[in-house]
Amino acid sequence: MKIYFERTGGLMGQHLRAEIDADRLDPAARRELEEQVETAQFFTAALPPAPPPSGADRFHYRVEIEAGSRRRAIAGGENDFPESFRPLLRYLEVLARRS
Amino acid sequence: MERHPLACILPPHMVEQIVANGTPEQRAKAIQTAQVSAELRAQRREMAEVERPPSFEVPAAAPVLQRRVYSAGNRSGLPGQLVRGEGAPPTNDPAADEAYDGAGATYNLYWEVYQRNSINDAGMPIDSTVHYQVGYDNAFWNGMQMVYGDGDEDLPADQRLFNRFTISLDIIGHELAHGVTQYTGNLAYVSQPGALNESFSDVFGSLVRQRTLHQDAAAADWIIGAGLFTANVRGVGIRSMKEPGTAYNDPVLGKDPQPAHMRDYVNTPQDNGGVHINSGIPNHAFYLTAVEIGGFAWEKAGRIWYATLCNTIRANSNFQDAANLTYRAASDLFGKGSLEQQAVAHGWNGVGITVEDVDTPPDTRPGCLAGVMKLLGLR
Repeated sequence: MKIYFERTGGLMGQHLRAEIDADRLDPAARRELEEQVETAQFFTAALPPAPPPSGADRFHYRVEIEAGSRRRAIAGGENDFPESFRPLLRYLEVLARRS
Repeated sequence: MERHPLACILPPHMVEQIVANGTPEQRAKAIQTAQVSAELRAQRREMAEVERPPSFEVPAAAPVLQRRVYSAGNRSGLPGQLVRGEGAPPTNDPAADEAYDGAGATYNLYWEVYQRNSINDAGMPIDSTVHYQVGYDNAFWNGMQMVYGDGDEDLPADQRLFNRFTISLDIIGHELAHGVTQYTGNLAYVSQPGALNESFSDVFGSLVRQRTLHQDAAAADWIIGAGLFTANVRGVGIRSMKEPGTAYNDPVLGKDPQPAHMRDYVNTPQDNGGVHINSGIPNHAFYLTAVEIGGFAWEKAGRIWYATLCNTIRANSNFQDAANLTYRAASDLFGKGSLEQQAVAHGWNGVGITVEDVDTPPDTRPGCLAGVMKLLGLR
């Protein structure tokens, strides 16, 4: 499994970015990452209707995940992602800090 | 939410003052303005009813502070469960009480110094939600209310970078100021207009904190987000208006990317064109202006920036426009060639922008308080 993750915006305007190759993680970390992706239903979850942009200081994400024959790339504001993605996004944010 | 072009109108108490003390011509204009204002308020109430959930009351026009603090319970639903309403005692939840007190301090700056009655200048309730999501290291304005995360509460202590986002009063002031901008200049949230949008929020956020601490421009630290970082971070805050680019330099967070001068302007597609990066330039211009004027920054420099935001800034205004318009506002408020106007010119010059003294003002926004005051010859 290969993951590209990017977060921009927010009050701080911090740019977080990570490219993760699950094959290079230790077995426990790899298993945890795969569970996060599955729990989020990343490849199948329907996206909520995109609300018109409003307000300020919101996060923007770009997430691409490729696992075998499955691949999905999603980019948008935090409201454009389904609620089920939130733990995965947080998991990737923390991984991106370390990369 | 799109800004209504007539969102800034003459408050009733001001009409009464003009009718009582003005010349016959001023009284006639004030009464005419009041009639228009009443129509606009009716339109605004209709808009509010359309745009807000049915549970929201119609905002009162009287200057009455009405705060509501909700908890999202670490979920995403907004506004969440009400935990403290106006006048209720402290909850002993630091985030909820900081949101409540910070909203009050911000309201007081706008009302007591600039005579602005809440976010929309019509007594709009100030709603805040704390405990948003899990591990949410951010705060934002969603077009109707302020929202605060708890930072890195979900991580082990030695990995935490962020405390709760209500911990910094200027962050609360920053988010509420986005609401004020939405109802006034409504600067587009992209590129230079977006960086100005961010800068106005930093300016008024910092002024709320300075006023609460009773600090003059020389004594203030001009840091945005002091206290937000945990001890694990090498940094004093998320931005420095005094020295943009120096707020943090950390192995995990990286280095503060803000420029302080146009020669270092960052062209980037990220962050809506770098709205949180290039805001360092107008931030520093405000700092230089305020320090040169001296005294309490909210009294003169803040008034110049507020009048500009309310009266003349447009959705697509860029840094040069902001320089020209603040320069003109300083002339309107303190006189042409005044020390205050010279300070504005020097402030912008310090960031690489030369003000252009354009005598003909742009179309004055109908109904804006300062504009109407000027129209009536009361300033």
